[in-house]
Amino acid sequence: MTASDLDAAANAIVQRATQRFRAHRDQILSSTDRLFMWLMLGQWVFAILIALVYSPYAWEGKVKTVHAHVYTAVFLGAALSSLPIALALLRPGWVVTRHVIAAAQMLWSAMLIHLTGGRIETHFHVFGSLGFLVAYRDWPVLITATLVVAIDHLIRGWIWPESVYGITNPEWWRFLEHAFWVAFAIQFLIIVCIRSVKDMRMLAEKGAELEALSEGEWRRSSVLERVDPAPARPAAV
Amino acid sequence: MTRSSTPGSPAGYDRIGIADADGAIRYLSKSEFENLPVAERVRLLMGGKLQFFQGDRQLTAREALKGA
Amino acid sequence: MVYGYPSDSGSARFASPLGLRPPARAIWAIAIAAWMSAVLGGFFWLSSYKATVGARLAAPVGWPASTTVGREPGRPTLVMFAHPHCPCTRASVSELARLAAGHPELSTRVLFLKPEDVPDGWERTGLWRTVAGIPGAVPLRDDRGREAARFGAVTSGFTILYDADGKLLFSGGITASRGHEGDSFGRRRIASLLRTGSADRRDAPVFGCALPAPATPDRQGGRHDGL
Repeated sequence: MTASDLDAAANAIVQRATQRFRAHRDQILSSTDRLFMWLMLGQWVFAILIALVYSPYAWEGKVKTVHAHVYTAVFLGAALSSLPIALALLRPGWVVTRHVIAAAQMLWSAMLIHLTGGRIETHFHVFGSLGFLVAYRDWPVLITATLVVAIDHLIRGWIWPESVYGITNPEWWRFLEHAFWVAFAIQFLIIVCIRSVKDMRMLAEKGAELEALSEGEWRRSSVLERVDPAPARPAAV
Repeated sequence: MTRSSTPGSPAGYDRIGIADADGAIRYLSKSEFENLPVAERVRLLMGGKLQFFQGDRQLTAREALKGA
Repeated sequence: MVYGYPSDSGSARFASPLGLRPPARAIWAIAIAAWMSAVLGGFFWLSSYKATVGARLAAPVGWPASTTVGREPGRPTLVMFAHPHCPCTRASVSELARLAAGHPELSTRVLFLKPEDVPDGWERTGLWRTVAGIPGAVPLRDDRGREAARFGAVTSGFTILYDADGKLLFSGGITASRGHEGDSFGRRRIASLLRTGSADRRDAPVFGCALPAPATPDRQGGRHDGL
C-alpha cells in the first residue's frame, strides 16, 4: 500500500462523509421548507377566520360594509404566503427560500397582531416563530427574522410609536430595550443551531472513522494473504 | 495492560495512543483526537497503529469506535 | 473545521415535489422584488387605515340639561358613545375597563346607538355585556342617536369626561389607533385629569366606525375633522 494509495483512499472516505453530511443537511432544509409551507397556508386560513369572527364588518349607523381586516386577511395574507409557498414547492432547500420564509413568518406576526387589535397574547407568535425557525439549524435565518422585526419597529416606532411600544412617548432608547430581549432570545437559539450542525457533522465523521477502520483492516489482511497465502487444496480423489 | 475482547463500555474510549514511526507512543484524549481534521483521523485509522483505552483497559478499535 | 453549512450547494439536487422545472434565478429576483413591494404596500395601507382619524365635534362644555343620561353629583362622569357592532370599539371598551379599574371614583356611562327600524335587542351585543361587567359602568341604549347628537358624538369610541360639577374636562378617543388596544394619549390625559386636574391637552383623536351625524344638534360647537 503506497502513500499515494493511502491518500486516495482517505480522500474518498472523507468525501463520502461530506456527501453524507450534505445529504442529511439537505433533507432537513427541504423538509423544514415543506413544514413552513403548510404553516403559511394555515396562518392564512387562520387570519381569515380571525377577521371573519373578530371584525367582519365596519359600520356607519345601520349600514354595514366588509371590514378592512377581511380584505387584509384575504389579499395581504395571500400575498404574504404566496412567495414562501412557491419557493418551498419549486426550490426546496435553497438558501433564498428559507430567508424569505423567515421574513414572511415575522411579517405574519405583525399581521396577526394587527388583526387581533394589538392583543398582548398575539405577540407570543413572534417568539414562537423564532423557535420554529431553529428547525432549519441555520443560524443566519434567525438574523433575517430579527432584522425584519427590528426594521418594522424602527419604521413604525418613527411614524407610529404607540403601536410598537404600547406607550405614547417612548424614550429614544426604547428600541434598544426591545432589541435586547430579541437578542436574548436568539443568542441561545443560535448556539443550538451551531451545536446541531456540529452534531450532524460528527455523525458523518463517525461513519468515516468506521469506514477507515474497515478499509485499513481489509488492506492489512489482503497484504498478509499475499505474504502467506492459504495452503493449496489437496487433489480430489 | 491487557487487550480486552469484551464489548466496549457505553462511553467508548477516553484515551488514544498513536505510535510514531520510531515506535514512540503519544497519547491524546478523546476530544483532542476528535478535534484533529477528519482526513488525518481517517489516515491514522487506516494505518492501524492506534491503541484505544478506557481507563486502564485497552479496547479493540471496533469496540472503541462503536461505543464512542 | 467550521461547523456551519457550506456555501449554498446549488439547486440542482433539490427536486421539486411537483416535479416542475424551477424558474431561473433572475425570475426569482423579480418575483422577490414584486413580493416585497406588494407586502410592504399592503402593510402601509393597513397602517394608514388604522391611523385614519374619525370625525369629531365639540362636546358641550357643561353637562347638557336636556339629556336623559343620569349624572351622580359629586363624582366625575365619563360618557362613551359606542356603535354596538363596531369591532374597533372593542379596543376602546378594553381601555375603558383599564380606566375604570384605576379610578373607582369614576361614574361611567356607555351609550349604545340603536337606530330606527332595527330589531329589539340589536344594540345588546357582546360589547354591551362587556360594559355591563365593568365595575362602575352602566350600558345604556341611545335611541336614534339622540344623546350622541346632544353630546356631539359622531364616531364610535368618542369619550367625554365631566368633573364632579358637570364641567367638561376631556373629549376624544382613548385608543392610539383604530381597533388597537394599548396606551394612548387619550387614556393618559384622562388619567392625568382625574389624578391632578390638569393635562397637556384636553382632547385626543378618536378612531372607530361612524355614528349617524346629528340632524339638529341642540348644543353649541363646531366640527373637528381629525385632530
